[in-house]
Amino acid sequence: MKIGMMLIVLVASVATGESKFESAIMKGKQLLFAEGNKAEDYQNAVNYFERVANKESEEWLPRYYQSLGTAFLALRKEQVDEKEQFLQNSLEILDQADEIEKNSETIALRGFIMMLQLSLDPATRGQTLSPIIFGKFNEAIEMNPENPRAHLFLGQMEYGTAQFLGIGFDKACELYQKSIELYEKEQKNENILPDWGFQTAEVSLKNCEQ
Amino acid sequence: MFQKVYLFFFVLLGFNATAQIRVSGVVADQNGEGLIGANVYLKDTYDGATTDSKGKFQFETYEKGQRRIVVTFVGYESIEETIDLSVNVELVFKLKESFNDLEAVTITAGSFETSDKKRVVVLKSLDIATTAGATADITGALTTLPGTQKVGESGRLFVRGGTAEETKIFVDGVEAANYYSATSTGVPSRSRFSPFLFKGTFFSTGGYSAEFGQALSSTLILNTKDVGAENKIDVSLMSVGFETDVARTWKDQTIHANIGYTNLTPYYQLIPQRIDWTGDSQGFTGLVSYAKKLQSGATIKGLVMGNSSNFGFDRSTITTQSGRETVRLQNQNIYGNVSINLPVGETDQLYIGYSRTQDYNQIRYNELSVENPTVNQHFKAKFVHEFSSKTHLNSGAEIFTEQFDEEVNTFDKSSFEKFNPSVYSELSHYLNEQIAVRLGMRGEYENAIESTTFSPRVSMAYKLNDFSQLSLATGQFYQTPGAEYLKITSDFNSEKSNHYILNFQKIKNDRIFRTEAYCKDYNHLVRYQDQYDPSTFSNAGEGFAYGLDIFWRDRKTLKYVDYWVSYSWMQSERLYKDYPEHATPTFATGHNLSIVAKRFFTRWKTQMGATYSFSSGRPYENPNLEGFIESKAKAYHDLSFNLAYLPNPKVIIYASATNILGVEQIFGYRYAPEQNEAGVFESEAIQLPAKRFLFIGCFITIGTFNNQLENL
Repeated sequence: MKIGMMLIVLVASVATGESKFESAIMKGKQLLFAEGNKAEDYQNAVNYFERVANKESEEWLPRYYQSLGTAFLALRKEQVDEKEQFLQNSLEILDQADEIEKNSETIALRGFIMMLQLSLDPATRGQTLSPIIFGKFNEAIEMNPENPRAHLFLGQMEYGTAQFLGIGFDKACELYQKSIELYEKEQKNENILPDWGFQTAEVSLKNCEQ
Repeated sequence: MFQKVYLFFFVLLGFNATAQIRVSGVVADQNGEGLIGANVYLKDTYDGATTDSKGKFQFETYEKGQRRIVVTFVGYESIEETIDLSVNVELVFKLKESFNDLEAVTITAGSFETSDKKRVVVLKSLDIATTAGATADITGALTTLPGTQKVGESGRLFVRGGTAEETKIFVDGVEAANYYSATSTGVPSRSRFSPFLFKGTFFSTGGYSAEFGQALSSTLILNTKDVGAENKIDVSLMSVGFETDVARTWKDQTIHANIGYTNLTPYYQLIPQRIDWTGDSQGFTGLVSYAKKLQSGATIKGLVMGNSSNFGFDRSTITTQSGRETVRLQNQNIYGNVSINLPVGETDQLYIGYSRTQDYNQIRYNELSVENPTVNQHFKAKFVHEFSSKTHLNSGAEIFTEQFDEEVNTFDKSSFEKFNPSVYSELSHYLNEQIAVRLGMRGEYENAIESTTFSPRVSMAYKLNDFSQLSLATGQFYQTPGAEYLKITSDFNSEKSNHYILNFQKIKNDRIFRTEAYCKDYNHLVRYQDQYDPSTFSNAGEGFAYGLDIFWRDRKTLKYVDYWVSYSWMQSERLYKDYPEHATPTFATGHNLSIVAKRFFTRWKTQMGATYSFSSGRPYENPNLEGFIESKAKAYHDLSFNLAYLPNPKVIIYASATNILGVEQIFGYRYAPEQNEAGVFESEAIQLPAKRFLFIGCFITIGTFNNQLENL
């Protein structure tokens, strides 16, 4: 199975004239976003991107995916302390990505990880972290108004705030709608850049319709 | 189709024209247990693999010859080795656990840290504002922790048998002298600083670091907020006044300004009071704070706060000949500080800070009029050198100065100047994640009394398992006698205390249990026979306090409810001031208990909180009886309640009440100076100016600078 997949990637890369780096990222994306991934699969993907990142020290993408994979891994951990540690670790890896290139995607990912940190202790962290997280997603949208993830997560923050205060979800749902449109545009040309989160956006929007 | 693909594959392989080498093996810890998830790879290539559940790995590579192989795993030290890739190789790696200061033991003897960084702490920053009975006063919230005493008529922090003066308070590393609002006997004072200024608090009830001096009992270290994301204008309308708060954040700097006015007169007219307030009881506060983060990683913080307050009252008393007591007080206070934290090299840190407090009191007490301007300054520099992640050396130098002048009835003048340079150095070392040791030494010179002191401090901690730890601390602490003595004479030594503390702490699943046993001796306390006659003063006083503190906080057992319980048992005696014999001082109580509970009700968008406090009876001196401080008042009970209602994101409505049961709270008795005709000294109870304190406020965010947030 794995050899089969590698073959396809290999063939695809030859067919499209991708560089070795690009095909390496494509392969990593397959590992990271494979359906039914368990903790060990995420660890495997994280390790893979760590190797690519160490070789390609001028590229932000491998660090980006390494950081994202570490955040996914954190979600699979059972102990809260472990979750905390992996999220912290994921932010540190993202710092390395930012040193190479800080852009709309790395900023949105930082907001996403902080959102996960917030969810571990909303009562305490809500007040201090919320404005920072909102700030990250707004900054990400400002840098790239076409970033569907920044819209999706900003929507999730708005949703959480509305839920906490018992007010309407209009603001959140508009953002979800917008993110779906942007995801659809994004998915027309698959490449090495981040394109994850579409399913989450669909589920989120469904919550709105209920 | 598949055949073609395979064919293609082999053609490609053919281009590379070489066979792959297989690299395989095992990654294990020091005990030989396989590690799952370790990353094994050839440096500067994509070739590598992740270890499986048995720690095994295997991968193929086209690389040839001498190559570097790297093994990494979170929580372990990485390995890098050279291998020869001419034939298939099989390797065994044994990783060593790396030192992780987050996992490592922390020294908790005598210290409570309030922070939002760690998920489970004794107290969160927000707790200070939301603890019922504390009325958003920092010290009010801290008195729900064990080791503190409830001295209701004072409002200050009394720690483990020490007086309020034995606790030194610092803001961003430098002293906040005159931290409490000016007040007169029987009217509790409050912190001048709002709890919302701070991101974290470090409260030590003893055995603290050599970095801090001039405090016999305790230190309270408050750290202001960093550059944040706040961009808003808030207005607070309260039953006792109003306040406006503006916070503006640019990329790497935050400026924050606050203006407040309080006037208690309307409140006093509405709610029955035990004393007759005269004139207006009002206060003004203005504050500007600034924080900036520089590219280099350095942070600069500064804060200026001005306070002006006045109040007066008239009450009947048996302690004066006239039967009345008239007090009028005016206070002006300006506090400013500035500090800079500068990274030096990769791991070292330099800190420089300065604070200045200028305080001016004008008090009229019956026929007596007192004016006392005081200026306190504190300069501090410290350098933290990291030898390794396990070993740090914190060294510094500081100077405290105080200039005190007092004029009684415009002719009786007294003054003194204090100049206290100090140096300290402290080594912190982790033997491993389980054992930490801190060794410190502090040297001080006090100009006013020509005293030189050296105080060694030692503390250590031992981690019993993932959840529990033991720590202990001991040390010597010195403090220059207070202004009330120095204005009479300077013929003193420093007062001294020794602390011995043993602490056990267990944190598991959102529950904290800690208990601490301590013993504290006092030496060289000030004694006198006549408080106005310098020739009767000496340092012959002494005392002790020992006891047991217990703290339990649980956020898990009861759904949505967060509660904590503190209990302190203490025995303390002193021979000081004009005490004729050893006695338990009037502020020291044997048993103190606090139960604090909070719950957020989502349906009502309301947080409710309740605090029950108990303390055993306060000792007092009854001149009608044999002995000294031989009597005890009745026990103290208080049940306070608060609620905060959030109708929408921009409005908070807040209400609180202390002593809702209306229990009679007595903090001791005062006696007439002369016997009456029946040969008895008449007494009156020491009580608060009112049975309860009620507060209602409405906090509204009226504007925001964050336009993006609004537009979306």
